[in-house]
Amino acid sequence: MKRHLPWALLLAAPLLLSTGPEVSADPEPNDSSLFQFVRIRYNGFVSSWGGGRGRWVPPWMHDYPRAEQNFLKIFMELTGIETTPESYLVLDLNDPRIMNYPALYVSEPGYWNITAEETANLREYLLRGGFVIFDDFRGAGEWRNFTTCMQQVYPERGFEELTTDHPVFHCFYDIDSLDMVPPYRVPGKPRFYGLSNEDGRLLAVANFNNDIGDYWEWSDESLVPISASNEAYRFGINYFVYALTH
Amino acid sequence: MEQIFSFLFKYRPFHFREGEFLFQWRLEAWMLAILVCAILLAAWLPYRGWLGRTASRAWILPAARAAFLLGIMALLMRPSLVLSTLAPRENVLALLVDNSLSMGISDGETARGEPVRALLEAGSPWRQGLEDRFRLLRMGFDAESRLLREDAGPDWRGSRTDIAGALRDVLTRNRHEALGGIVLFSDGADNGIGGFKEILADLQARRIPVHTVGVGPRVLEPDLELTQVSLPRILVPETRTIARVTLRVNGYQGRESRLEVWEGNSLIQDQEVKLPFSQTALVEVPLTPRSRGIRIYRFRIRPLDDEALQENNERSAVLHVRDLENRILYVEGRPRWEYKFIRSAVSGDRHLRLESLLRTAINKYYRQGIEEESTLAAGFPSTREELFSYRALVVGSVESSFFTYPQMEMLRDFVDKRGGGFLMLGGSSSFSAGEYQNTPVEELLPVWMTPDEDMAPSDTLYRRGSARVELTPQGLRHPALQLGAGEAVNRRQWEEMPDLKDWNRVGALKPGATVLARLQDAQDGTDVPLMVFQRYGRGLAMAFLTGSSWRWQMLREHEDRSHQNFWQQVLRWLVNAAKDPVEVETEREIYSQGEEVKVQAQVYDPSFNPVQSARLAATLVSPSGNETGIELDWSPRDGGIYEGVTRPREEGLHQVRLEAEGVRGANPVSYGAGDAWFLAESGLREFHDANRKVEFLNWLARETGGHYYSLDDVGNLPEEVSYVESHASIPQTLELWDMPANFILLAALLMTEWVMWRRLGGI
Repeated sequence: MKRHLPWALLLAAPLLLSTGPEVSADPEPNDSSLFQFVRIRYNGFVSSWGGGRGRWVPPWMHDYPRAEQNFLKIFMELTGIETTPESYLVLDLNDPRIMNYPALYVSEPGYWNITAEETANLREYLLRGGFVIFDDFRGAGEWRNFTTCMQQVYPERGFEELTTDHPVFHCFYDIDSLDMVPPYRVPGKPRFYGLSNEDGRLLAVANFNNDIGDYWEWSDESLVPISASNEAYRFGINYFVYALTH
Repeated sequence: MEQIFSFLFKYRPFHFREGEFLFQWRLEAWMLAILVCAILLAAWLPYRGWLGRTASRAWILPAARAAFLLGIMALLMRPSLVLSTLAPRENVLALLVDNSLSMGISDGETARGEPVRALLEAGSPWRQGLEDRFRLLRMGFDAESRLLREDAGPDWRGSRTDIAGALRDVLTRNRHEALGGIVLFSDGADNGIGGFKEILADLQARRIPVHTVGVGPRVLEPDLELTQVSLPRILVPETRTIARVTLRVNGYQGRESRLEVWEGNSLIQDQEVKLPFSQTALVEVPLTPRSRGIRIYRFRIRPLDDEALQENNERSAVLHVRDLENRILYVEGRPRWEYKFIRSAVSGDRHLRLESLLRTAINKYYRQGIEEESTLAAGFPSTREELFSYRALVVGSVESSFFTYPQMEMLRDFVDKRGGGFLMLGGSSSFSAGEYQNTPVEELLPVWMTPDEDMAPSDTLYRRGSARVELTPQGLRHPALQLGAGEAVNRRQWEEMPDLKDWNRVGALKPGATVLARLQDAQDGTDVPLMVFQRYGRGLAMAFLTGSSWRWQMLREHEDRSHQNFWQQVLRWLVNAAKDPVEVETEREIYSQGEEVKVQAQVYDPSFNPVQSARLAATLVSPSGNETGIELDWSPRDGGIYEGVTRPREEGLHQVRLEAEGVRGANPVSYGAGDAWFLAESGLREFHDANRKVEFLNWLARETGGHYYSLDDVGNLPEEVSYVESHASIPQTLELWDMPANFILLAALLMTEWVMWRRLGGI
């Protein structure tokens, strides 16, 4: 009998070491209970230069997917958010599935040619409590196109320029200056605009004359200064934390 | 039957029941033994030759003779009954007539009290029978008792029936008289101040029997009666609540009626009621009082045709609608959509202030909803005073190690001692997944943390998937889960709610837990509790085992307010149950005018330790503004309460106001103030539960040595009431030797002997 004891102990070891059920299984990256970076594919005018490492891609796709991959890494590292670097996806603006994701990212809204379906879907999204980040557009023409689209979505109110005392600049980082250097030459100074509802809650922010997604995309290469990338992350994190808290 | 009995046995069964049997000629045992032996010998000797020679039935002959001779001997010993009786007209008999409204209810053609009036009329044989034996004291009573004049009998107008009070009055009035008994005429529908225990002890000590005469039908039929309305005492404006109305149904089973709710002269609810085939129906009426103040609701079940009594179809309820300092602390362990949407759902509710502490990163917090910069500046409260200033606590997806052990003990005491509401939300770091096993927080939660042993190995403590919400029957009726008017609408609304995407696995439910909702998914067999609550100490604890209720907002039309309503109602329900440092309440909210009102108060310091030495100033404010002081004394009952009584002298809404002060160190300190409201009505209570209470009347008679009579056998009362064993009674002997039954029996024995003798061959 004694000869068999070591074998018995060896066989019983997994049972002895068992500590009960696992707390949580590794989730699928696109599980909707995780935070998802959702990029919007909208109806646009033209294709333009701007894809990763220089490709002709539609404007909505600029900086995809490296911007979100890098952002998600930083976001999950710095905050307690539950997500993964692969938790990003692309949805059409007229897709009702956007309701599963209460924050959206839109690139190059200057090329946006909004449809009636998109108008209705985005309006409903905002009224239910969704939040949108518009990024990567510049010049009076693109601004005019963007605001015309948004006027159809939310005619009650328009975009107003944000100042540093707005809660969106203090919900995670305290951002005390909006003097940001754009990643490339733009026709004016970067400005930050917000669309609020009647209660003062921000429904959307717009980085005009700016492209913080571009900073995120190239932040792991030595193409842009670290301090500028940091600044872009600070804005991005504050936007999403604001969306998660307001 | 009783007449036959009286013929055969000379006296009525009552005499045999009450009397003591004895033989007046008592023999010593040895003499009796000799006599019996002699009789047996005398019976045997003549037949000794027959036994054994003739048929076996021959033994009947000596047996019949022996029985005959023994019977003769028994009669010679003068069998008798001895009863205690009262000497004629030396004692007082009090006739106590219920003069309340319920005695005026028409049970057929006349009021139920009319037969009593006929009995008591001057010159009636019944009354004469009593007057021959007693000096009568005729009294009427309702809330108070008074002598009845010959020219003014009972009028059935009293608004209350206080039987104990009336008995006490009779005893007091006759303290120096020889009181031979009390005859109480009533339907037994007592709604007085009680105190039977004391009065019974007094009656028993003085050996004064109470004979009760029950009037009215045992069951009112056909009749609908609104027996009870259950409603919270205090509510925050615009809070949805459920009034639970209980109906008693006699003879209308399966029919339909309507339940109306009136506020003043306004009809605010009118809903159809299908009467069940049982005798009791529970109807739930959703109410949402909008404005502050004292609301008096009148609930009325619409009478049906031929109803025996319509006055019992309504009841009132009092609701105090007021603002409360409804601060709720919400602690969340990480940014997530559930946090945003819960905050958003209650942001439009001006009666809830959700102060939140969100851990956005390690050692980094974001505070929202705070009014002062210092609030939560040091993180989660570390003192009882700070934590107990909230009325409810919401703990999100935050692991147990976030709290120190003393903080977790404070969380437990927050519910147990302070009486606050506690809610834990599901998430990857809450419940078992947050390692709350064997912590003080597990103690207060309605579920155990250790999962079931039958949990599949592939299961995890926190699961992601998709499952539907299903309300339990309790959930469908719960005020926090009302998303539409009426049960059908509410059920449909919940059926349409989007699926949830995550849930926590926990262990068994605690014994006192109530499950309001479950999560179910037929595909993977998920069936787990979603929403469970229990009372814990003075407070409430709820488990909401998901972190994805935000989908109810984002996946429904923006006009749909289900998500907002759900969270506002849940949090209002939690805060509404929370206790104030100074609490005062009355036993009920509806009293009769003049009825004794028991007042209870509890006083706590800011840490919610009970204060035993508070100086209390309690006042009863009547509808006309008259103020009367109420004396409250401390009692160790229920962990320490202050108790006192008062009595409303006016009809209408009364306020009990309380201020509590004390001394801390050398300084005077105010613990706060509180108030309670009740309604004093006259009359209406008389019509509730107004059938004849035979059990009560029987009990009262039995306990005092008296008898219960119905109107059918009340004719025996004059003779029977004089047979009473009391201090004033004397023994009376009733001879039994000349009962006809004796002679019939002896003749039958002789006849038996003769017939048998002939049959067995005698000449």
